[in-house]
Amino acid sequence: MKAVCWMGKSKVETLTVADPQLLNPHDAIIKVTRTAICGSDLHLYDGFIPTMESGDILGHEFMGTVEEVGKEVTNLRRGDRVVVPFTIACGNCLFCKKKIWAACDNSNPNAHLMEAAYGYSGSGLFGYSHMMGGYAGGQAQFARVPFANVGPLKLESDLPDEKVLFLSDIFPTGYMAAENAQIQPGDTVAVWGCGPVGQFAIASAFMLGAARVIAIDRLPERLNLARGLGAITVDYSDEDISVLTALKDLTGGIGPDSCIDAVGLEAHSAQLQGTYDKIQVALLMETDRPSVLRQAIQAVRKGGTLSVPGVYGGLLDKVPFGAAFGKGITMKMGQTNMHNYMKPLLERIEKGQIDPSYIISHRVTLDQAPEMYKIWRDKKENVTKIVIDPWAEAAA
Amino acid sequence: MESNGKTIEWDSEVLADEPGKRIAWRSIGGESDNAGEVIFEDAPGDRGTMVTVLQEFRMGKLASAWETFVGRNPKQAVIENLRHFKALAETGEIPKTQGQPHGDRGMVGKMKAGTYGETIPTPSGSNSIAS
Repeated sequence: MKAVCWMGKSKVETLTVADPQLLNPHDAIIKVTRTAICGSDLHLYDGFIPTMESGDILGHEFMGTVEEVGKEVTNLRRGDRVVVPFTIACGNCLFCKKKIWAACDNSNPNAHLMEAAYGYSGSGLFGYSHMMGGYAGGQAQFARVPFANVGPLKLESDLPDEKVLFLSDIFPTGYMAAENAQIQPGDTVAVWGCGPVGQFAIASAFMLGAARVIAIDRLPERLNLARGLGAITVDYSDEDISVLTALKDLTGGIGPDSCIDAVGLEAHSAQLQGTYDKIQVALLMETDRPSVLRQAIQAVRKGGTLSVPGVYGGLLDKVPFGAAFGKGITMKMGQTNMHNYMKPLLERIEKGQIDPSYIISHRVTLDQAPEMYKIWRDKKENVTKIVIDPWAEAAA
Repeated sequence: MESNGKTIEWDSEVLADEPGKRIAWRSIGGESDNAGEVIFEDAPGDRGTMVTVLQEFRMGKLASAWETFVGRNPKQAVIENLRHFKALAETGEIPKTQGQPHGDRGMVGKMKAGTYGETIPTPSGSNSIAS
């Protein structure tokens, strides 16, 4: 089969590799009908996430039809249409039973690697480094899905792939970000980053009762999409604008009730601290560039909530923890507990409350994927979301 | 016992056997000089069973260093055995990625896989896979 492989920092190739096989009794093999490139794939592309090996198949947002199931998978049959969550959960450990599926204790074969860095290991993830399990990803024609009796969401309706594909990660991730923001009716919510997760965080914040959402980014195409959802937008790259002042002004001096950092470890900053972080990372004095996190801690109102769906990987410098303590804020974060959200959010799509496909800007083949990683990273061609049809041939 | 894909055989005598609670043994000949004890206790709060493994391997410093270099040192091996047992008990399988497809690893990729312990075979946990 064809698959998109990580071959080193800033090097992605579409290669012909072996087809996946069933390896365990709860496995299923999925014929992938649609997959996507995630913003977090760029952290791999840019070499920020350790323990990648050349040859790793990328991709954690995918869906398809069931091709083959292991003997313990009783809820799926060949031909079923499924969306696959990017986190792998066994369904039976203490954490799965507590519904914190992203903390599953049994799905990461390389848990010892993560224990060394984090103390304890989270769940295995598709196509996201060996520390996170080393599972082959879904930017391929076929994929092996472990614990297929627990994760995949079966589709009973004939909704097109593009409307449901983002249930695999970014829609639930944006929704959990809004839920973690503990929004009360009438609240003002500030969202940093208007990429796909930011978009769904904005849409979900409104669903959960926010009276006003303020969206912060610099790219016009993303700010346009945010305005389309009803958000007020702030372009942080505008030299005449201070984000902190703007957020104060828009909230009568109180500050946003909730702040959502939908950017994560590769934040860009218009200010001097952007350069500071690049130097610190280059000197190995920190691993992540937390300029959005710093600003969000500064911006949130007293007693407010900071929700972090953006990915952080390692050690951060100059995080104003004193401000967080001084204002008594709540911080909630983490990989998405996918299994809690896929079904309710599918129902919202079925009811027509949202059509997640509005963020798609590019539809490509597997062979085009490597150049798309570059376009996605450099934010060229007004890119907002890239979807791959693994079975399409490149247009001649 | 399997170790790094090789079968190691030895004889043991059972020193204590309290069914469902505790078992202890020591080797009395063969290819491994070890002794150990496994204890099963109820976890507080009705959270299942806590399993404690105490195991001692007697080997030379050089042999220990070699084991660490080519695979896992005995301490990490015991940790991984326990982890595999927990996964098997809770889910009926041991998570694995060995045998899945990938592109060319190159030399660096192969070295990384080695240092991450991915070249050490994962026990199958279950005999049959396909339906």
